[in-house]
Amino acid sequence: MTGFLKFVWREHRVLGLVTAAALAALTLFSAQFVAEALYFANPANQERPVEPWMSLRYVERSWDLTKPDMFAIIGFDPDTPPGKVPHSVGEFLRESGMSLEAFQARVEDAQEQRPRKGVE
Amino acid sequence: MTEALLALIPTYGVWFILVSVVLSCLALPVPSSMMVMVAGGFAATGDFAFWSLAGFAFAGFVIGDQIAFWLSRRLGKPLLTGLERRPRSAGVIHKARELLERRGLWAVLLSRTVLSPLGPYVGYLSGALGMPWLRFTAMAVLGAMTWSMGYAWLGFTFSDQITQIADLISNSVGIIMAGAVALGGLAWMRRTYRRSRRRG
Repeated sequence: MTGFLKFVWREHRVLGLVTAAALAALTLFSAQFVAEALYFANPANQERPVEPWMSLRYVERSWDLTKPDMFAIIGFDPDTPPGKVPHSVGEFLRESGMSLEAFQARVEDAQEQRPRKGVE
Repeated sequence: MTEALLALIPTYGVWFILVSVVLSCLALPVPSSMMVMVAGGFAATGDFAFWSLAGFAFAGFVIGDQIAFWLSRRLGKPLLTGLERRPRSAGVIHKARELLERRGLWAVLLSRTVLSPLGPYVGYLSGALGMPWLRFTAMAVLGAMTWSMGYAWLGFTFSDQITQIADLISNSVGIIMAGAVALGGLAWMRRTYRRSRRRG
């Protein structure tokens, strides 16, 4: 092992340093990956905020809402043709001028008013 | 940047996915694996059909691979032939060609599945170093199918956790790239070390 390291230092110093840096980065990314996986595996940490890139339909389904709930949140008539309804949260926020926090609060309110699913 | 791209998926749908996958096959910095995974999450909630997402991602991958292959065959091959005539660079190119002949098909498949960040470079090299088109295409199509089904399925199945999976994917890209550099470096140094010991 020391023979190999000495050889690398003598003959391939740059490649040796690059490989060592890559190994360090590999360790760092792997540790981060494991830490995140463990964090998300804990049910207490599975609540996630609404993000502007999400589609409205995605928010509707993942937060256990119905279509009328979502239309009430964005203040649209449920009969609006699909082409006229904003697709993503970001698109809606831009058009309406509402803040992300206000939108999130409305989603949470609507979720609380839904009948609870499953065994609590 | 990534979030800005993700935000365009609900508006432009599967065509946007196709174009993004094509661009990432050409080594442009588009986070296409994350985009297909997130779109899989959207597909689970009915924004678009799963099969159309998987199909468009697959089509984008195949088209992108072919563009990369033919671009480098047309532009890169003459360049490499020129370099091969020079004694200084001839050795390296000859070795690369040999390696591609021995391990090339595996490289194409792996770089379209587990090592997907390396995909575009292997595509360009395959074209420039003269890998037969049919062999490249067969492996590339197989890899593209696995990749697009895999990421779309991941998002579709775990649609409630796409934000978490997105974070894990960005970390795993780091793991793959750092791992590839480290493994390559170690393998190269070990080989030369053994050779020098045999000689010495």
